[in-house]
Amino acid sequence: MIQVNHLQKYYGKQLAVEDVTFSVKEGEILGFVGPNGAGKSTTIRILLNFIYPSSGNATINGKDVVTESQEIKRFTGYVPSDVRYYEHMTVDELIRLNSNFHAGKTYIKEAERLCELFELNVTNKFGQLSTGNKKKVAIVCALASKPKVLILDEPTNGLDPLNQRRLFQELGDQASQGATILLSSHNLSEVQEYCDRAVFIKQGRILTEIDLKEIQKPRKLVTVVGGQQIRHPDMELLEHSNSKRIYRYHGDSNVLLALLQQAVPNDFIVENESLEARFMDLYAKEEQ
Amino acid sequence: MHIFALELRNSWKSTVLWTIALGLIIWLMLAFFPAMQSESMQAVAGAKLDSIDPALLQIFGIESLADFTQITSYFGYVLQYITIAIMVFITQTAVATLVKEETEGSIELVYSMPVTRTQIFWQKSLAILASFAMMILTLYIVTNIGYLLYSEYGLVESLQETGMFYGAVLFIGLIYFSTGLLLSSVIPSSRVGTAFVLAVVFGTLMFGIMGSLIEKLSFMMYMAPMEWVKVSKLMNEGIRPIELGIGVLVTLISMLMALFIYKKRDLRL
Repeated sequence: MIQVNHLQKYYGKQLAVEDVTFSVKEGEILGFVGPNGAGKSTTIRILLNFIYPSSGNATINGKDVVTESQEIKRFTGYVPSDVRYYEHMTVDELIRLNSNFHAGKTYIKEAERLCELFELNVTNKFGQLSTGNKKKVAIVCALASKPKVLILDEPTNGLDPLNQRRLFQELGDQASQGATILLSSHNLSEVQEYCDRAVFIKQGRILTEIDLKEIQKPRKLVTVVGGQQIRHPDMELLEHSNSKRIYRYHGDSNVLLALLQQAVPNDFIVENESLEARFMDLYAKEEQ
Repeated sequence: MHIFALELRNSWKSTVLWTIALGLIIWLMLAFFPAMQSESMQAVAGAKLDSIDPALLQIFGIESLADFTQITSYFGYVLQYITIAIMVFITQTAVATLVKEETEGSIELVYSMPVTRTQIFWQKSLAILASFAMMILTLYIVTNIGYLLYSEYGLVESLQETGMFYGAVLFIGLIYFSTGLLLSSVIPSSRVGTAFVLAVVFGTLMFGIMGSLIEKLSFMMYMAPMEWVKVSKLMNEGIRPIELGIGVLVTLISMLMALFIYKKRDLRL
């Protein structure tokens, strides 16, 4: 389990992370969502002890990220957003280097399976690999020890859709075996599809936390042209321009149909509200 | 000791190249020594040396051992330039030790493994020192072969004399190494490392020159380790206890400060 409590980080006078609090449970995949510079990587780097928090604390499986970092890394896999490993080493050498720090033979065997899965040629030098293949190396190195905790900073950047799917299949398997997974991402559709919960961060502050299982019963966006304005407790008017009104509805579908019938519109469109729409709405409100 | 092995692996190419280059220079200079013993060459060298101001001779460390027909004087002259090159090498390597991984980003791989910063620090330091020791040992062997082939020295005599020279170089190498390591823990990027290397090596060289030329500035000799190991001085008085004390103190303080800073600061990614 990852527990982050009131984390704050200053770079000089510049505030990077402000009072960040969230947790990731065992067996859960948490999407850590936010625009560039929101504080995602800073938070992750604090969790891995690359940088120190200015205040607040965080624990991973009950161990403090500052004082017990070495113990934490025995059971934690990490995929950085920008993978910059030793350019002169081959993929195989990098895997063997990692295996030295984990259970050697089991690690190598699992790494071989993952290389095959992600179609990664281990004889190539790291410096000659494409961005996507570099990312695969980091993924293989992080997953091969079958860690109890996985921290992935934008792991699908540069990966093709097929390998993205393979990665999430693997993450799902690991989570079902009890792994705690923190996944930072820009890609809202992958967060919506594969994560259990999402935490939204902007300018270093947590904006909201969404249970993505709840979003399976999606809210609807209803665009109505003409007719009367609909007034109902489950109906929220988002936009009104000329004769067009856009509502957000979170109620029963039959009630919605009845409401639309009463309004007598010239036309209407009903669509499920995506996580992306929520994200945009959330950030737009924050801007205001 | 996986970080130790990794560091050795990452630094061996540069160490080998420097060792080969310096070894070749030493070899060529020693091979030239028999020619220095001929009467005509003695006359040419003597005339040239006589025309140089004594103060300049002092700067070049040949004030009291100007007889190039003697292998000790001749090699001493060569060794002071070799020493500058060795100090550039060890300072440069030390400056890169910690900060290079951060500038290039590979620290994200190293430090995501179950190691502490203290382990990274000591294992990297030991690896660099092991490389340095190997370099000095190789140059020591090359020099001794040269001594045996091109001078009239016997094996024991040669081993003893050059052993003293290289022992002293190894000692001041530790001072430059620890200073470089301290710089490595504070500079923002390895890209600015070269400027600091040149400042440290040639700055201390300048201290030595000023200290030896200007009476009032003679205290600067204590800040000029390369002055401590000039062959002419080593042959007369060796390394003085005060120099030994300063060297050990600077090395210990620099290394402990470097470790403290490296442990306490954010890694730069």
